Amino acid sequence: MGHGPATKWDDDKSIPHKIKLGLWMFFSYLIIYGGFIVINVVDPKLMGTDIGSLNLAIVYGFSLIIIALILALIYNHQSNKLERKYKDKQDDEKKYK
Amino acid sequence: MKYIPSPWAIIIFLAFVIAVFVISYYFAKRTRSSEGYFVAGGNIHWSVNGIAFAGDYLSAASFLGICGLIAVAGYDGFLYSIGYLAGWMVALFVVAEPLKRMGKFTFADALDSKFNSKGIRLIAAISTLIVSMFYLIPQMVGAGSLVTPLLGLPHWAGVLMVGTI
Repeated sequence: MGHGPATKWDDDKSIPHKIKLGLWMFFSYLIIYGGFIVINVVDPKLMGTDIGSLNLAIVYGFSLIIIALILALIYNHQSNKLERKYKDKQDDEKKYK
Repeated sequence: MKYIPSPWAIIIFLAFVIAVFVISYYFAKRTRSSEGYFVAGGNIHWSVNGIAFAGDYLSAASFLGICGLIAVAGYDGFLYSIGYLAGWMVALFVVAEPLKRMGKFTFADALDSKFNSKGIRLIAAISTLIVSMFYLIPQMVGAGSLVTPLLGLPHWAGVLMVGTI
């Protein structure tokens, strides 16, 4: 099995937008995750604070997991939407040329 | 604790392993390109691919390693399970798009296409083998720990089975 040129992608004008979106989401998640780490490093006892029947560590930790899943779904949806949008534009331009 | 070997458990286990081998062999023969190998030619829905991906990662490291860490180290072990996930966000938001743009599926392929250097290919191959080896060792130990209560076989049998596969 060759590992040469694997795939041929069409000229994709949505790339800069997808990169921007990816970086935005990455830094957003980094801030939320950073908050979790900072609390654990600076004031670990704060994580034991009760929030209902659970504590902050469980609520924050599971929120990180759920937020990651939601962000991934949004990224996937938005990337597909951007790709479709620019592909439609390209198709229209080809039609009227 | 003493465990008695269960013939039915061993039969089901062997049937599962054989089925995986047969499916792998059948589809490996039909694979012609790296696109076919890594993403099934791009013909699989992302949700199905996601489940397959998750199946790949629900390994001894996740099941036994993280649970064991939490059991042994308590809250510190829980932190590892979150950090593990945060790594995926980097891969998705920062690494996936450039790799897709290059039309490559692995870091080694991406580095090779960018630099076209024999040295980089060699280093990528060596680092892949080292990482795989250190990943395989806990998998083997984990399998050894699992086969004793599940199949009633001694610890070394599990290590040997996973090592051989």
